[in-house]
Amino acid sequence: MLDELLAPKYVGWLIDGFYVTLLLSALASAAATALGLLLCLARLAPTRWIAWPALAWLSLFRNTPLLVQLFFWYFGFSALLPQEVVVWLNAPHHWHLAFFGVRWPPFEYLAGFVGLTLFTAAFIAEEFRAGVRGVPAGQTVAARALGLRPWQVWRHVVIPQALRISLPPLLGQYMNAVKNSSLTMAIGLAELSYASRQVETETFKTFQAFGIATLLYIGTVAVIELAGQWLQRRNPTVGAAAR
Amino acid sequence: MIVIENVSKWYGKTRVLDHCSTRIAQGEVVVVCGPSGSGKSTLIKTINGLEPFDEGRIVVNGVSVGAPGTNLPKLRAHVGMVFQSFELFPHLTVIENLALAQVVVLGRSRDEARTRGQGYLARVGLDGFADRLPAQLSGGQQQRVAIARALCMDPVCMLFDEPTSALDPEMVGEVLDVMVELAGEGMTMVCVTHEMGFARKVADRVIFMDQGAILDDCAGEAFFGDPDGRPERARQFLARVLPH
Amino acid sequence: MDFSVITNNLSYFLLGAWPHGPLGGAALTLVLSVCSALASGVLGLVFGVALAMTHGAAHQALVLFLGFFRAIPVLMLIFWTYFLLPIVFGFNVPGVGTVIVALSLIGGSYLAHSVYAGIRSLPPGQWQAAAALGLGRVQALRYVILPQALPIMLPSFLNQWIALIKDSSLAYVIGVGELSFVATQVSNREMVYPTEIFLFVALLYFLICSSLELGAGAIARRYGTAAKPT
Repeated sequence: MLDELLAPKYVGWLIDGFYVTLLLSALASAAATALGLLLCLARLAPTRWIAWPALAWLSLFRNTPLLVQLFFWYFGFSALLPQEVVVWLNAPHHWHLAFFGVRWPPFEYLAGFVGLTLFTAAFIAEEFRAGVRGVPAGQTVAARALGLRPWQVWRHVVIPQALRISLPPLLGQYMNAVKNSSLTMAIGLAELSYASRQVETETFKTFQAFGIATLLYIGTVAVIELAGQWLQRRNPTVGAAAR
Repeated sequence: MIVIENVSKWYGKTRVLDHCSTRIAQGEVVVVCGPSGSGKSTLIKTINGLEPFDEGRIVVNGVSVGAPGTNLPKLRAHVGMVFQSFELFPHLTVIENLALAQVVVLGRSRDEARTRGQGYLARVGLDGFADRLPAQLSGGQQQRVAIARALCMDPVCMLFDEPTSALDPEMVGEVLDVMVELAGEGMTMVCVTHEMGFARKVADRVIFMDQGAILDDCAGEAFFGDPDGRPERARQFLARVLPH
Repeated sequence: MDFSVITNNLSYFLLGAWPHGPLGGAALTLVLSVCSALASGVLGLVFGVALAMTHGAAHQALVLFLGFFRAIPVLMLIFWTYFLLPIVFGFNVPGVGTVIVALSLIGGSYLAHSVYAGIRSLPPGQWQAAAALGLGRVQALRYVILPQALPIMLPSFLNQWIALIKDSSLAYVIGVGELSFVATQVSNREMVYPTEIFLFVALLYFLICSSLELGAGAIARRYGTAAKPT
């Protein structure tokens, strides 16, 4: 029975990979949420000089595969940069910020982060837009009738409600970010899928290697799902449209 | 106080307001009635600039509503409006609904806004509801909160757009009671409503509209007491809505 | 930018080695997508109807089963099918088949929930009216419920199929020669034009996906339902 288990060394590989998966998806989700909100506002801008480029941007990033986008950032984009910049990006750097030592990540980490963030942001922007559309028009009218200026209407009435409406689909996008982070293995980022593939090649224990990785992914997705349910139970205005 | 002169408005080729003119004096209570689609709601929404109009002139408290450069938010801050579907902000508690515009529009302190809010909440009979969410209130309670929200802004006049139409019948009374009380205190009020009992009790004046035009504009007693003096359409309307 | 690398390899990008070798490139991407779209549509309908017709423990078990495929990354499922299908069937399953199975299972699980939601969105009075006319549950579903619910679901089907087209690029990891795979092949061979190559490949995917998205939008407008991005 014991030889069916993975040696601690390989379990360690998987755990290291899982840590990279969590870190990458968390960072990309956070950045994508901020960028997604900006893109959503640009998409809804009253002037077409802002709204149409935003539409084109969103459509481009939503309608091409993440894998191709990652290849573009990893192989294609670096080919566009001047040689010195590429050398600098690839070289190790180290700073001291207050008490933390900050290490410059390898280039595949940068490309993976940028690719996953931009891809996820395009979907999050659409979720926000659906949330804004879910706020009844009467709410805006009522806010204006109270004398609120247009930006105050957005700040105090539309955006808070849109965020509450979009929270469940937003969590869905965070789950997608976790799952999609697996694609970064194609550019050599040593996350969970990469690690499971490596363990499988070394040990031939396919069931164990893929099984542990699968359980970790499903567990992460389940935790996000439960967090969403908990949030909705705790605050009844989350996830509901007005009335 | 409110002057409406020759106001017309089109949606594309349809004329929704047709040369409407009237004057509303300080302290007057005016009821606007008429069949649905007659332009009543559109007319009262032109008064605080929520509906733009194409021709004519509207002056509220000395401010011309349609003129370019008019500070509409400033005007609206002092013209209270109550909507058919309440339009409380569902993500804010009752007291936050009352305080929001006081703080961000009038610049009052949070404490002052809440104290005032509590005062008006008591006046509409909803003491103790401050920390509820709108979804936890009945329709009648929500509409009373909406009235309190408008009153918190110290309005020079109040506009009511079918305030009881979305309510279950048993809740209409509690909202009308608040409006009657408000009328008794001398508030200038313009009410679009089908509640003819309310109109009979408090209306100084009744305006009857049909197809975007003001067909009748007379004292309340005359409207209900002198059917022969009314235009044909108004007589037909009254015959349908008044209990026999 | 030098796009001669594209024109020189155009036939390889579009068709792979065909007609002298196996079909590949954009054509194989289309084959993968169409096959998995059909299979996922059938699976989605079957499981969606099953969700609507089951109660209690059976329903919960089905939700969990479908939940597994919605929670697992496409890439991991492709690893699993690559490894398990030969064991299950006892012979070597070609890479194309492996990918179609994985994509169909995932697409079908998502579509099952769309179908279930579409069925549930109809007022219960429709079921009661059908029952009052003497129709059985299956007949009610066949003649009354699905004809009304399918147009509502169509946009989510199209959106799921857009996701499938993009996910078919993951066939790359098991060496299936579809569009993304030939792109990396050409890029590795030529060494110098990765920007042009990946821009061109992105453009091909964009054309396919956005035309489907426009179709989804037009249908959604026609039936008055919002197309939800997946």
